[in-house]
Amino acid sequence: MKKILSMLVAMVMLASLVMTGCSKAADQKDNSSQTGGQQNKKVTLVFYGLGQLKNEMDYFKSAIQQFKSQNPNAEFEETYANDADLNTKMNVAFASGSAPDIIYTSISSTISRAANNQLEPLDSYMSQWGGKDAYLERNLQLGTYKGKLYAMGVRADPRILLYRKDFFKEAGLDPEKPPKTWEEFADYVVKLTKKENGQVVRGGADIPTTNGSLFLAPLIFQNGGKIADEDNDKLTVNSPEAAEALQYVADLYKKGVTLVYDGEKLDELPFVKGKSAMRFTNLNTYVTMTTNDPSLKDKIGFSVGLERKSKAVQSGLICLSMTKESKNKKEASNFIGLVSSDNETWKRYEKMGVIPIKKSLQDKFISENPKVNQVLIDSVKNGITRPRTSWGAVYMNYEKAAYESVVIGNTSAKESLATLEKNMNKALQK
Amino acid sequence: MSGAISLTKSEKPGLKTDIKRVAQRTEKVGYLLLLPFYVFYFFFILVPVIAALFLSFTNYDFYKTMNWVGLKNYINIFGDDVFVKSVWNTLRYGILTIIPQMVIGLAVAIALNGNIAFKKFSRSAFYIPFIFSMVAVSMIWMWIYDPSYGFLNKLLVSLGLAPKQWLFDARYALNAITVMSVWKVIGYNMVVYLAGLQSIPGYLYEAALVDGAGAWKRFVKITFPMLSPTTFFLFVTACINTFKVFEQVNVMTNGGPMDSTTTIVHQIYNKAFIEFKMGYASSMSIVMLIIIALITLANMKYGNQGNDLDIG
Amino acid sequence: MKTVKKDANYYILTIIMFILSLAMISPLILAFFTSLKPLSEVQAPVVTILPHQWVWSNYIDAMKEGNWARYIYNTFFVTAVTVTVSLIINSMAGYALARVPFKGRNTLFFTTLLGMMIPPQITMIPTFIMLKKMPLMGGNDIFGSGGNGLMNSYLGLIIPYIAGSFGVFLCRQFYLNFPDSLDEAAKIDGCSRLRAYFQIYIPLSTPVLATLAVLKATGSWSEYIWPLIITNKDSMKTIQIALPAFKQETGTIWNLLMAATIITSIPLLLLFIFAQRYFIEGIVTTGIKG
Repeated sequence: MKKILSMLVAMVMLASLVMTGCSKAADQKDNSSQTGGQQNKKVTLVFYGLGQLKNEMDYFKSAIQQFKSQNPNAEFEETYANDADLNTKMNVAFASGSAPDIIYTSISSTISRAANNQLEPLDSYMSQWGGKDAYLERNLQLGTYKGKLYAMGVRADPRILLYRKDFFKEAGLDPEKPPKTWEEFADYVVKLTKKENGQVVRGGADIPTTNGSLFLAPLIFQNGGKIADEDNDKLTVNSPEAAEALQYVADLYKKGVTLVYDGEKLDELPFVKGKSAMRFTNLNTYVTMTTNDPSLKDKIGFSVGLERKSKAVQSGLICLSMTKESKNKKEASNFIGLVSSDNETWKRYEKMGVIPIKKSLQDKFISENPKVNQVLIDSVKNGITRPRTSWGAVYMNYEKAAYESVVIGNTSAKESLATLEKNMNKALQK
Repeated sequence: MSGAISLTKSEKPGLKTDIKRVAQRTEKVGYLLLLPFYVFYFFFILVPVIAALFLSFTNYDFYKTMNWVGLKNYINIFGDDVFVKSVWNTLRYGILTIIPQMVIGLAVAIALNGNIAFKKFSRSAFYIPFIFSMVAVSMIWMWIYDPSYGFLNKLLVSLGLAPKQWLFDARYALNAITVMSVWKVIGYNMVVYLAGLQSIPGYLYEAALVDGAGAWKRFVKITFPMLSPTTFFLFVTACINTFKVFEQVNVMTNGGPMDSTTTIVHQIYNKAFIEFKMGYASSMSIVMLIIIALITLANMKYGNQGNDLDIG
Repeated sequence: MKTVKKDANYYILTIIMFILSLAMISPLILAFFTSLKPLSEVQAPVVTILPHQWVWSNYIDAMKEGNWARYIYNTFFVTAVTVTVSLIINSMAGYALARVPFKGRNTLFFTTLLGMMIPPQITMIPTFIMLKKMPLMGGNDIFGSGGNGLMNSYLGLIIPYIAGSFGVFLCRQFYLNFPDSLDEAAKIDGCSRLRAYFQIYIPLSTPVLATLAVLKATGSWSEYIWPLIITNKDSMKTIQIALPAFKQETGTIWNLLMAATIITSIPLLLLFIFAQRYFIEGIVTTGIKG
């Protein structure tokens, strides 16, 4: 009996020794950079980034290499994840005092963290990065919250209007004249829809069945409305202008002019499958479609999109920021400065087609492909993003419910926006 | 021997040691055997649960704010329409998944335990869906359910039936997710029942055959009663997993359309990770824990473990 | 029953179960075909079932997208240690809860169920903090500050899985099945509980240990949230958190994703097939009549 007992104890101890040994070995292998080299203080920068574009991650790999050669005492620990996972990781990291040094994510996510006091203001570092005048104003504006700069834009991602010139011709529309007003758009959409047995086989345009935020938001702005008063962190979406925009979308959708799809799921987009004539989308869609089928190059047209009382284009911005808790701010700022330099910015354009947002590169950029690139720059200049407030992410959930209740359901836009405001107020109570 | 088949008390499964003897006779070796597991469990599972209980009385926002708010979170829960809706959805989901998965799992286990060819292939085929991660399975089924390109609608149309919008339709979305979930988990039920079937002594069946008992009678009088510990296990774990349903909802519909597929854990996730209301989310999980614990206790008292079990 | 009676029931049941088996795996067969298509066919407007072009190299290309050899090794190692330790400590605990009388046994059993009733999203923060502040690990001093504790480590991945009570519950229910007479006979023979456990119960436990191994391996292999937050380095990633990389902003790379999913599911399938031999049909008891 005692023998068995001692055997058991020995087994458990052995198992734990083995496990500890393995863990130490793994740690040592990965942490050797931290224990070695007493002369140069080794610094490890922890980087959390959005990792949903392969060529973007490849680009960062090369930028990190460049950075390491310029800063030999710095190690880099980078993790990439999609939006939701990145958010989870960041929440846990901040909650447990193990925040990363640098974050690369969407502007609204970045600003919500700035609003939560988790980020370092960057104004004082600007002089090392070429000064404020080197950057497009709109981007600096977007990166600012309550008067301080927190985010440096890296990838601007406007959603321009792509349309099928061949389908236009079929429907008797002029392929060189894409719609410019809401009325024109609604008219074209109906004319371009093809139905068989009452079912839509080819939509006039892609209008999302759910998660239609990126479709709706620019329309609200074009109508003179605003989702948020960003300077005061207030919700302003419950307005007649926004209601008109939402009702416009719902009325159009209910005419049966689009295939059913989810605005956030980028896989089964009708336009990419050749099942619709128009789509508000980013340049990647064009690249994907023409790579798979080069004959489409002449069949797809570009336009800035619609305008009503003003111009507005949904234009995402993915940006770099530095956390307040970072113990390596100097090195972090070196990295951000490197990525923001003219050299690296142009490299991103060449490798990934990313729109350069430095003033000095504008002319060069437009001269590369005047027709398309001018459209892109105009989109960036008129760009709006998801709400840059402390409550951006919360808002998306309730807006989705509001959108669905009007577009799929039978609520009026006015009613659903009032409900949206009520829900938001409740959610924002501490 | 009488014609009736019955199991003697010592053959019936359940705790054999009656409660009086437990109180008087404590064999310390029991603690010793339980200890290695319980040490890990206590520190890495129980302590976080207690931490969650503590957080549920605060307004912790995932960063620097943490103030005591007493029962405020709990009071707010009952006024939270979407949370109440998520509870209903979760219960509906439970009813639609728990019984089917166990019944089908049992039927398949019995079929694949008996006189039949290709057992290994069939058992593997039923278990494979369980091996794939919920995320992968959700993505595959989202593709199947796609209204325009999905396999299901194409099948319906070719049979002359009307296509449906499935995950985009508030009437069908939850049911569609249910079908996928049951499909995935049948294999798990089958495997556990197969193990349970192994420990039914063969002589019981032999005796029954001598008595001329048919297949159904053998099932009702021998198989099902002898499987009661296994059934209890599967029922409790199915209940617990029902309440924890999250990944499929998060990947496929994110709670929509119109909150028709949001579940309790989906709400907890939203409140904690999107709205940064960790205190409030913790109170939701404590409420959920209490509901599940009550269901489990009820099952332990009135279910197959009957009078053998007592808490204390 | 040693002889296989090939009567009508045998054939009918075989055919029915075979057809049902095919139906069960049909979504996965679709996924398999997808894994062999070129990306242009996957993204094309026309949906095909069988690939028009059989691109077997997808399987190789999928493994080149990132450090897959490392991810698979990590998952393998973590799962192997988890299963081994779990088999030992869970069956011991299950046996104690089912067959050894001791005070507070039922309460302790109920408390082990509690841990399963709370969603991981809530408990993971305290657990994370504990692992990060583990004294004397990963550069921490005796108070647990200064370093990273068990972050980015195998132990950090393994410990929360070992702590799960699912296996204890499963073993307890299994051990409840044995007749009273087994323990009584052992006692008469002068066997202690511990010896009875090793010499009588363990040999009879092959079905439950095989089941536990398979289910625990499946669970550990499929873990997502925990590896997501405890690892920051590419070299410590596990399979599940490496798979989403195939979901790109330009659209999901379905063919490679399906290929990677299938490759990474094969070890579990092999384990299941291997474990099947321990599902011995028939008599388990040693012939003691109740």
